[in-house]
Amino acid sequence: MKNLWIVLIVIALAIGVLFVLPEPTDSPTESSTAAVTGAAPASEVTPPGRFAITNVRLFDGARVLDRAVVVVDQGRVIAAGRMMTTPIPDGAAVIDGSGKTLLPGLIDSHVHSFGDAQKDAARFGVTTVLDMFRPPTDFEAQHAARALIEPTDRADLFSAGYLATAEGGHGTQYGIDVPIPQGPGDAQSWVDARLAEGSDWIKIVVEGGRVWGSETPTLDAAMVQALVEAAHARDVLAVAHVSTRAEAELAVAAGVDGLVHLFVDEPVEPSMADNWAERGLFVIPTMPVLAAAHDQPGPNRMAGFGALSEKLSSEQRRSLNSAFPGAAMRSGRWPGVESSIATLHEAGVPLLAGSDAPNPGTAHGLSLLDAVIRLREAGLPTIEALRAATDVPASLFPIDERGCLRPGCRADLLLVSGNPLQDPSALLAIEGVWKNGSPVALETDAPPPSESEPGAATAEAVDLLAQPSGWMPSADDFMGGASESAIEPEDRGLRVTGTLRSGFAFPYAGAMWNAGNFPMDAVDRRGWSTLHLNVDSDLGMLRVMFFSGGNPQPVWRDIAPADAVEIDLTELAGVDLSAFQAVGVFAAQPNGAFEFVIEEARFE
Amino acid sequence: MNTAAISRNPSLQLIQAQWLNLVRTPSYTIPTLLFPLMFYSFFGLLMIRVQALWLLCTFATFGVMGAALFSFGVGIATERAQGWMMLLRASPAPVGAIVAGKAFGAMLFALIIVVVMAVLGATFGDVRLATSQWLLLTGVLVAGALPFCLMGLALGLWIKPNAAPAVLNLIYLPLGFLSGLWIPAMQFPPLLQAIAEWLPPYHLAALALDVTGAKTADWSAAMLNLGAFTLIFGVMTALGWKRLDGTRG
Repeated sequence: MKNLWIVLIVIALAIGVLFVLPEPTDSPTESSTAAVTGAAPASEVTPPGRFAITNVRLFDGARVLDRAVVVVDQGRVIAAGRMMTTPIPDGAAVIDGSGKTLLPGLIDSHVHSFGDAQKDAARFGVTTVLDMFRPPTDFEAQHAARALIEPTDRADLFSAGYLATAEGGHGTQYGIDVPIPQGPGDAQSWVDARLAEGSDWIKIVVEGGRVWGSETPTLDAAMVQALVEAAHARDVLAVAHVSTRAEAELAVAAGVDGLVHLFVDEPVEPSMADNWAERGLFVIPTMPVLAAAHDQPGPNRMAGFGALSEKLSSEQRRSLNSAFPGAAMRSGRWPGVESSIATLHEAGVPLLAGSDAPNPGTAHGLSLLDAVIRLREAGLPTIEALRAATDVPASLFPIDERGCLRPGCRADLLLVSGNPLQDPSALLAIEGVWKNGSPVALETDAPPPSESEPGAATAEAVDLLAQPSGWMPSADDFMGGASESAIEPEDRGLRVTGTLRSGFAFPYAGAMWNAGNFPMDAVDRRGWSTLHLNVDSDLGMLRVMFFSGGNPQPVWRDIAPADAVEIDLTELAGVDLSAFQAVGVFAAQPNGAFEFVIEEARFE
Repeated sequence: MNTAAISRNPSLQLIQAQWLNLVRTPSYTIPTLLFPLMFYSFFGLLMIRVQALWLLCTFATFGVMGAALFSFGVGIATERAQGWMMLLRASPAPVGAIVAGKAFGAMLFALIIVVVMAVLGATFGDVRLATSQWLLLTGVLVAGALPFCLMGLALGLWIKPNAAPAVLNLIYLPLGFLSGLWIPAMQFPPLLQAIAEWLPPYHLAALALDVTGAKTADWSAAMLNLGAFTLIFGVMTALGWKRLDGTRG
């Protein structure tokens, strides 16, 4: 009897104790330990932007933890460390990262960002881009956007703005009105004007065009040195575009902080690399663009490219599938490029991953992954190749809080399946991307390319010559060139006359047929597969350009006009028939007056 | 309630006997109570204090499992050896009351272990939970002792009496470890993780972690697993009981 009472009292006491056990304090200033262990009673609602990726392999920009957790709150990393020792706060949504690797959002240290490039980059895990030349038209908005920690689907952009080049030099051929520094005495005011526009550093072009088979005016040593000093006087970096050893030596002697390309006319010698390492010079080798310029296999050489390629936007496809003229002639130099990377790395020269997208053969985002993989292929340890896209650029460029996954860093995250530290191609297996702690949609908004939807035939065959109003004269004067053209319908077809003059990088003049009711209107023309073309001309070559998908740059195919030709549209990668705009037939060489008659032009 | 009432109710008498049995066998009582508390103090409060809540849930599960397994496993086996089981079975005492008495004892131990561990965690580990969560945690774990009571009962009926303590330890410790009660299962290599997800202590701990908000659990999966094991050990118990017929046990 007595025992039973004792039992009941013990039970009552035990339950009573539960009622007096401490509850969490409501104060938001609870100590870190309390935040760790106290589970809030009403934590049903997950605070927006608070999540933890658990059980994941973590590369935090510098080192690797095998079983780690990263906690994100309000767009920032608030904790990162081993599973057992890293608290997961109340109400954090948990994402299981088993079998996956989490990296800082990557940094592409050499791009030219136009249009939706920042979106394309972010969808591929590149959350920061260092632009090496673009007009400063939107810098105010760009600076405001990157200062915020708000959900966005765009990579943060930092930029050199206008580049410093000689009158008519490299950089002036794109139809952008680049301000030209007028002699060393003008250097400081030129630099100050750039900084006033919002440039984050100064880029100087030292490019004689020799290795690319041309001759372009370039800045001399005194001018380069004056620009470097002017930049340093304002505490900003001065970086140089170079292509040859002599140009690199000129730039380095002038005191630049870094080279934004590796020179390619010969391999880097160890003594030069040692000298650079001593000076603290950094190099952005831009292997993806160099690979394309030397006719090397592109990103499609990698396992995992197939699945990823479906996420390419039409602009990414276009740039990836275009090619440098004459690349094959230069392929013999490629082994020297790869050996230079190893030499520089052994000497301790910091290497930064950069793609130079959207140059031919590259694509925003994708090519930065390629840049990391190419650094690995050229002999960098994998972790160093990853650092080249994370904490190395973050330590050299003024881009605080990026390229790292430590408390306080921006929650720019790239989650991939597998282990890129063992197999860098795992970088292509993108599972998720977060920018400022908010997930980025991996799919592109653009409709998939026509070849993936063979059943969606919507367009009938059309005889282009039956619609004379659809044609218009078109020439490079539109792009800043000096060529001109005129068209005139006649019995045989459409007569095109004009004059081709130097001025634009790739002079062209001819006639263009618009698929929509207005020039360059995009219309769905899926179902077309072939362009039949018969042109009567004395010219040895005509260039057929296809405009689609809103891309400013066309896809082109050179034809010999002697015979009727059929162009298989499905083989022309980069032509987006779901958003077809126009096709043009142009004279492209030689300079001088020309004349041709389009006798037959049919889409089928 | 009076003595007459108790004498009329054999279940109550057996429950009382169980209590007396516990009090009078400190060699069983003390280790059962102290071991999980000691482990929790070492791991949860001294070594990995930031995970005091997580480890409170898992070591409390560990303690509850131990109380149930040993109370039944070793208890029944010993009573078989002493012939007490034969006497009980020969007597008109209802079989259910024997089991209920032991189950009550195990749950009482579970209650004490959870409450003392909670006090330790709150005092030295800064664990803060809403009163409703403290109650839920205790409730889940005390109720969760039942499947392990059956497990202990089944084992107690099948194992040779003198081997019982050793065999139960051989089951108890690895089972606790493999279920992620010492080290979270997510720290395991994939194979061990896959194993953990089949073990009932893993699921009981998952429920405890869920009610405290440490980690969300799939309640249907956990209940299914615990239910399935309860059924299996129930059947083993029934078979074991039948097996005693015609033996000395």
